[in-house]
Amino acid sequence: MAEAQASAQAHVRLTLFADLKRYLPKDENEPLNFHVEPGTTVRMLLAQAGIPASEEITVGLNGNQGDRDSILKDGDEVVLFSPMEGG
Amino acid sequence: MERFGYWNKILHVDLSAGTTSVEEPGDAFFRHYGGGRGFIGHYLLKFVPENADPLGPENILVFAPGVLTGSPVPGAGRHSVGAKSPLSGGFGEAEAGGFWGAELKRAGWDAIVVHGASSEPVYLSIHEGEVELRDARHLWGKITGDVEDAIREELGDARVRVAQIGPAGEHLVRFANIANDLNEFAGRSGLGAVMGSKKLKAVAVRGKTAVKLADQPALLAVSKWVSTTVEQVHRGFHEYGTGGAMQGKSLEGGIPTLNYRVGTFDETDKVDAIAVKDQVRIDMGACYACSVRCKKVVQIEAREEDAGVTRKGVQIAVDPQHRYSVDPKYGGPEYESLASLGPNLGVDDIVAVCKSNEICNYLGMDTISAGTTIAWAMECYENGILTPEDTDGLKLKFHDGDAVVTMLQMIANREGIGDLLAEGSQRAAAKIGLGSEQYLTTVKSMEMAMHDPRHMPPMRASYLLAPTGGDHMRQTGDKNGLRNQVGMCHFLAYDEAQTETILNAVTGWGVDQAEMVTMAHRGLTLARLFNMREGMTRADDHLPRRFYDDLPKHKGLTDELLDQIVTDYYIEQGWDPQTGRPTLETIRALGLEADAGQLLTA
Repeated sequence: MAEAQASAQAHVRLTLFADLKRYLPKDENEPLNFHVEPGTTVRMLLAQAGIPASEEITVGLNGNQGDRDSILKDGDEVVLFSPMEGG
Repeated sequence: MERFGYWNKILHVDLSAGTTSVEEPGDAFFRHYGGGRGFIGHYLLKFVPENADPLGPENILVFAPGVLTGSPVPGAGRHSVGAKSPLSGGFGEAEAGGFWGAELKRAGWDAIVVHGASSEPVYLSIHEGEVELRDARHLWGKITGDVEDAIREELGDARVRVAQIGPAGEHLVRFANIANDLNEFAGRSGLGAVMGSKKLKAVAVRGKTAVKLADQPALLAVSKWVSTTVEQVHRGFHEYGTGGAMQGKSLEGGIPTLNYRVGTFDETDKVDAIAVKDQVRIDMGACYACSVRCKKVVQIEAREEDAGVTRKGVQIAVDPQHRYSVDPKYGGPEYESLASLGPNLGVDDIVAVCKSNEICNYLGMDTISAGTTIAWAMECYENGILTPEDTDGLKLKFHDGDAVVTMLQMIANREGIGDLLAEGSQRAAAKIGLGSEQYLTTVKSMEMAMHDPRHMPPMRASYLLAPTGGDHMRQTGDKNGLRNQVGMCHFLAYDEAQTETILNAVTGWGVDQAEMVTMAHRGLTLARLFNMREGMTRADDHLPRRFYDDLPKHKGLTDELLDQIVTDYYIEQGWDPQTGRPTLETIRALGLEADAGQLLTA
C-alpha cells in the first residue's frame, strides 16, 4: 500500500538561484528533491520548501517560463530566480 | 536634544568661487528626507534651474550618505551620489558600497553638495572638520589607482578614503562613473561626467569619530544575527557574490545575449561567477561593517613568471594567450559586468571579460552602459550601419573580447568612434540614424541592465518606472526605495521588522512601518517631480521596441501589459493615473509643498 502511494506521487527537483539559496536547508545542496501529491502546484511546492508567498521570484519549469499555478508532474525540474542579482 | 545617526551638518562647496559653507538644516530635515535620494531630490529641485545643462556649472553634485550609513551593522556602508543626469536629462542617482560613505560620516558630515565649476582641476580634502580645495592639475589624466596612491602620499595618510573620477569622467563620457575605494562605484546615470565638468577630480575623506547610536545593543544583535547565519541566510552572495545564477538564466532562455536578441548563451559556464571563482578569483572583499563579503577580487597575470600564489595561498591565474594582466586592487566583475561584457556581447573569454571590467574600473565608466553601448554598436556593424571606415579598421564583431577591450579604451579617451559611443547608445543612434534606433535597449536614454523583462516579470516595473531610467534594482518599490534613502544595501536579507529595528536602534526616532513606506514614497515623488519639471511625461515610462519581440522561450511584451503596470504604479504612489503627475493631495501628505514649488500650481 505504501509503495502504491509512493508511486502515485510525483518526484520533482527544485533549484534555487542567487539569494534564494537562503531557503536551502542547512548544509544541503541543490537540487532539492520532493515527492508531491498529484495536482500539486508550484505555489504549494514553494510553501513546502518554506519560501514565503511574498517572495518576488521568477519560475522556470523544465526550461520554460512557469508560474505559481503550474501543476507539477513526475520528473519536473523547477528553478527559481530572484531579481536580487545586480551589482 | 541628543542626536543619533547624523550630525546635522551638510557641507556646501562652491567650486566657481572656491568657497565652502556649512548648513545645519535641523533634526526634522533628517527624519523627513532620510538621506540618499531624499537629499538628492530636495537639493536638485532647490538649486538646479529648470533646463540647466547637466554638464554646465548650474548643475550640482550631491554626495549623500543616509542616516544609517556608517553605523556598525552589515549593509550600512552605502552612500548615494546624485545630479541632473547627462544621460537622461532628468533625475540622476547611483549608490555605492565600500568605505567612503562611512568615512564621510565619521568625519562629521551628513552630505556634500557641490555647486559651480572650477576653472582648473581640484580635489576636495576633508579631514574631520577641516575642509580644503587642493590643486589637482598633477592628477588630471591619471587612472584611479595612481590617483589614490598620490593623494594618500601627499596627505601623508594611508587611511584616507578617496571618491574620484577616472579619465572617462574628465572626458565627459556620458556614462562615466564615480569610483570609491578603487573597487566600488556610483556607476549609473553618468555622474562621473558631472564631476568631470566641474573639474573636481576627487573627494578625499578621513574621519575618526563614530556616529552616536540610540540603542547599541539592539544594533549589535542584528549584526550578530548576520554574522552567525551568513552561511545560510546570505549563502548565495557569500559563496559567489552576484552572477551565480547565470547558467540557470541561460537554460531558461533569459540571459541577455547578442544585444538582447537571444536568451541563451551556450558558453555561459565560461564567464559566470562560478567560472570566476574556479579560475581567476583570489579572494572575496567586503564593505564597511559587513560580514557577507560578496565582492569578488580577481587577479590574472599575462606571464607565467609573474603568477605564483597569493599570501593566502591561492594560485594566481595566467592568461592562456598571454595578453592581459588584471590587477586585484580594482576588484572583480559583478553580475551586471559579467553579463554586459560577456554574453550580451557574445564573449566567452573570461580573461577578456575581467580585463574589460578592470578597464572600466580604472578609467571610470559604468560597465552596464559601456557594454550595452558596444552591443548596440556591434549590431550596427553586423548590419553595415557602421563600417570599418567608421571604426578606424577595428572589426567590431560580436564574440570578439579583444575588440571590446580596445573599444572601451577608445570610448574613455573619446578616440575615433569612441567619441560617438561616449555619448551613450541613444544619442549615438540619434546621430547616425539609418535604422540604428531599432537596436537600442535604453529607457530614458539610460542603457538597461542585464535582466530581460520578458523573462523576469518583477523587472518590468523597475525598468519602466525607475526615475533614473533603465535600472534593475527595483528602487521603485517601498523596500528598496527606503534603502536608497537611508543608506542600506539591497542585498541584506533583513525583513521589514529588522529594518525598522535597525532604523530605530541607530536614530532613536521610533519610526513604524507606515512611516518607512511614507519615507520611500517621499523620495520617489521627489524624483518624479524633478523629472516632470525637466519635461518628462508618461511617454518616457516605456520600454524599447526590442522587448516587444518574442524570445525563443519568452513572449514579447505588449503595450497593454506595460500600460497597466505604469497605471497601477501611478495609483500606488498617489500620482495622477493618466499623467503620473503627483497629485496635490500626495504632495501635501508627503510634506513636499516647498520642494514642489511651482509644480504645485502648474
